[in-house]
Amino acid sequence: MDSPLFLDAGEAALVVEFGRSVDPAVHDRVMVLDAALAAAPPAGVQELVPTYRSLMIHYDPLVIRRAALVAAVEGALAQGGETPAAPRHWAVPCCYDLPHGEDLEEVARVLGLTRDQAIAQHLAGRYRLYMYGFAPGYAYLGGLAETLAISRRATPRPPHPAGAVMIGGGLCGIATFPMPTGWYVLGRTPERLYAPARTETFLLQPGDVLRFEPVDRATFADLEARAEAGETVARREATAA
Amino acid sequence: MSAGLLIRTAGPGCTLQDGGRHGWLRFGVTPAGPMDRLAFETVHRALGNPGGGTAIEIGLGGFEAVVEDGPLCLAIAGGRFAITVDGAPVPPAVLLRLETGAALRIQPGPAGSWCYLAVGGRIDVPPMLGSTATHLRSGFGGLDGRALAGGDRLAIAEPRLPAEASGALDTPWLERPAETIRVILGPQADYFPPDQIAAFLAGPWTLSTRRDRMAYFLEGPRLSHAAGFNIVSDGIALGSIQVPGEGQPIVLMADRQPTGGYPKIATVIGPDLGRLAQARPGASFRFAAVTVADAVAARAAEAAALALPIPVQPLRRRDFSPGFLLDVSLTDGVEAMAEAVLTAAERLDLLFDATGWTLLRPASALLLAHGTVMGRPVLAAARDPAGAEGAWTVADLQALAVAAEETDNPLVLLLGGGAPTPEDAPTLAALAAALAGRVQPSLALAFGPILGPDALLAALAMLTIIVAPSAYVALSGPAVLQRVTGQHLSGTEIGGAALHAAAGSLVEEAPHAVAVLLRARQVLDLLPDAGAVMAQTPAPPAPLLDRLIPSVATAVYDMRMLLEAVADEGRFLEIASAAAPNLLTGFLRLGGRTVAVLATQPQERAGILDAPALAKAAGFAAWAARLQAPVLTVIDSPGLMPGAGPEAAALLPAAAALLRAWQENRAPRATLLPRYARGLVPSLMGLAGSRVLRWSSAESALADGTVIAPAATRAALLAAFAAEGA
Repeated sequence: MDSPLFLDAGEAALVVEFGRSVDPAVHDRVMVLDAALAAAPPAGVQELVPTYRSLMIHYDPLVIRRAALVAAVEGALAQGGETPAAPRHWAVPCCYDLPHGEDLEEVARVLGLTRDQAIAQHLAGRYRLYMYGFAPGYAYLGGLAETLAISRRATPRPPHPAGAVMIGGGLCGIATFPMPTGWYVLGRTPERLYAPARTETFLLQPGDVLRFEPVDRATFADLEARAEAGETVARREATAA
Repeated sequence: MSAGLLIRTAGPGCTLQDGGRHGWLRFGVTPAGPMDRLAFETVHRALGNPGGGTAIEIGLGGFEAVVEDGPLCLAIAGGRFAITVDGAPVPPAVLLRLETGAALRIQPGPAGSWCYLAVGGRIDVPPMLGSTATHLRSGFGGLDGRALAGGDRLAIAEPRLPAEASGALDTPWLERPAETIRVILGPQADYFPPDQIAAFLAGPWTLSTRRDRMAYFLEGPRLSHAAGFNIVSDGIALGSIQVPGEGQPIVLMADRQPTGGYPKIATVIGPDLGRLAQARPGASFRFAAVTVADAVAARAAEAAALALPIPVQPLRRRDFSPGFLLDVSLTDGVEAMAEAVLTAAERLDLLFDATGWTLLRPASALLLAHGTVMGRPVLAAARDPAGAEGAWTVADLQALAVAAEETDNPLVLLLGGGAPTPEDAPTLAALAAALAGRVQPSLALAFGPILGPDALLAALAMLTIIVAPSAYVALSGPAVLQRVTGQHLSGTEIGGAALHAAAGSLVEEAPHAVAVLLRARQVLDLLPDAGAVMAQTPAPPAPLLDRLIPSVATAVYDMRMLLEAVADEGRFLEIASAAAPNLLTGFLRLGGRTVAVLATQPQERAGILDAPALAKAAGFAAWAARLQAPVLTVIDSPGLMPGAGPEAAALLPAAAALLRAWQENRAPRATLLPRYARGLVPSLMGLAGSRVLRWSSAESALADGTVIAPAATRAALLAAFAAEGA
């Protein structure tokens, strides 16, 4: 296995780069290092930011020098192994009905599918949460069927609501906060992905694996009320169903 | 109600920021936080607050607030912003104790883009994800995730008042010109061929007007990528410089997106990020590549500077507000002020900025003080009006000469009161030695009778400002006159302001001591100073120059309208307006640089020049020559007044003095000819050796010069002085 590259992003951020493409094997190595460093963070390490292909380590260079940080990372790499601990699997409820699946008809038309085909292909996917980016709580999910690969819009559409489930640029995405987007909104989850009172403020972690469970409008309303009351309505599953 | 700040106005870009929303980047949450961390930490340190607390970040839109249920203690620092409390200016880095009702105004000043205001205590807003930092794009933090606005009230929890009441903060580490910005190359420098890295480092780069808390766009050489400009997204660090397809770099600032898909050629090092943030659009700079070790050393140096206590210099003159002065000059306070005898220290307090002044030597009959006036270093020599210390001595005069030589700052003499300088041999010898040196005062302020050697010193000044009617300046006073000639004349009849003005001397009068000192501040603000350029040079209001010259050939107009139409901010400061009003003298700024102005005044004696006008011109031109100041001459004059008797006799020496002054000034000069330039007037006014601009309406008899349209005058003058290397 190649050793990663250590790239400086200034004197207070170190990029540990495992590859330059979107690849589950590369992302596994990112998550292994992330977990090892999170379990025993060296003094001076401030934040770990996993991405598709690298881990960005923010550090205070007056507390830990670059050489010491590189040594700590190499130690963590040696101990961490090659495959991450079994990922968490989630069944995430998603309502494709209007008004939630705002752009579903448009997607089906552009891709030459029926509405039900588009939903079925989206439901068949198992999605790896590669990273958050672009905006707070904006999760990039890999594993979208090629038949659903649709280019991003030329100009952004108006803001989607919190919990929007979207596709664009060959990826699936799930948004925590309302935001204008160049993606297409297929549906919406009633889950509260962000809940400051919950132990896990953001429910989903990089490395998690998701599938979507279809719910109708009435069920959506019911689940939304329960989520509002503090219940977690997405379900942890033992393994991928 | 608890203490608070009621915001009256908040321009765009005014937000609450704390140390940043850290720990959530892996969930896509940008930390936000201050654009200039060093300035932000400075204001908290000055107050003894714990680091990283909530502060107000103020951008170029400015900010106004009123203290409610005070007192409150505030610290303000950052760029060189213009700050006033109840209208009175205070230094740009300042600690303030403000009472209920105090009105604070913060506007962009000569330099800098961001300014920080922290409060002793805590700005009480609820945190989100552990932080109050405002991130406008996601609507996080601050007040409901938005920018501050007029009408907002910020409650202050646990207000604290530090020991120092108010004072200027001595923060030299905030003086950071953005000439070179240090970077560490990478993380995607290998996406650029070596010659493109070289081009990136060579620059130069100009800061675009397209910039906000998220990103600063740069303009300069177009960079090309080795192989495409799309990468699989990865993390973005604070200060990352990404290069998108069009090849113009973007520096990602406090509100950056957490990840991105353009190659990042380099990263600005932490200590230089605030320096870059403070630069204004149009600023030009280069990047310099440094190592991680260099950057860490710079961080350590910054931390060391901040670890020391911040010196606070006490503010003086807390009641010196325009409102106070307005009261003084518009009501019966005038008489009270005219009669009030200010002490020498009070006079100096009024002359200098609120940062105060320091004595250069132990107090004696001569107080030698140094400080700033409108931010410019100034030396002042004041006489103790109570006279308790007696007359100036030989030692005093020698000290004055040495200080004038060493500081090379404008010198202001505050004269009047006390015992006159004795006319004994040692004192006169010391006086002669001082005069032979560089004791060349810019201003002499006459608060009482100025006689003998003191009058001689005053006569050397560019301008003498006299309290009328009580003060006067003369070599011999009424007592000597009566003894020698038997004549009974008052001091004013011998050396009052009006007499000096009638002779064309550069003299002004003011109704009382406070007005004299205020006027001195005004003049010192525009005094030419080699190399000094104001950062901001707003153009004057739209010129009406095309319609300025009346269509009737003999009709007159006010030359001041022309000068105001070409000056920065439309401002012409006239000097000695009462002396020979047919010849204007004064200053204006052109492109930020002060230019001395001599102009004929068509609406006084049709702009015909007489002996007092030539004497006034000679005095002012000689003074400009002494400073090697750039000069603008505007000539619209039918010629010289044919004189008779003493009047005619006085013309020649004045004319000769004027010609000599032009020969001695090697600074750039420009002459503008709007209409008539007849007879000897153009020669006397220094046409030779000057760049000549001629309006299309000007008489064609004078073939010299570049013909310009009246509306293009300002641009042409800017170009003329630029071409002359002013």
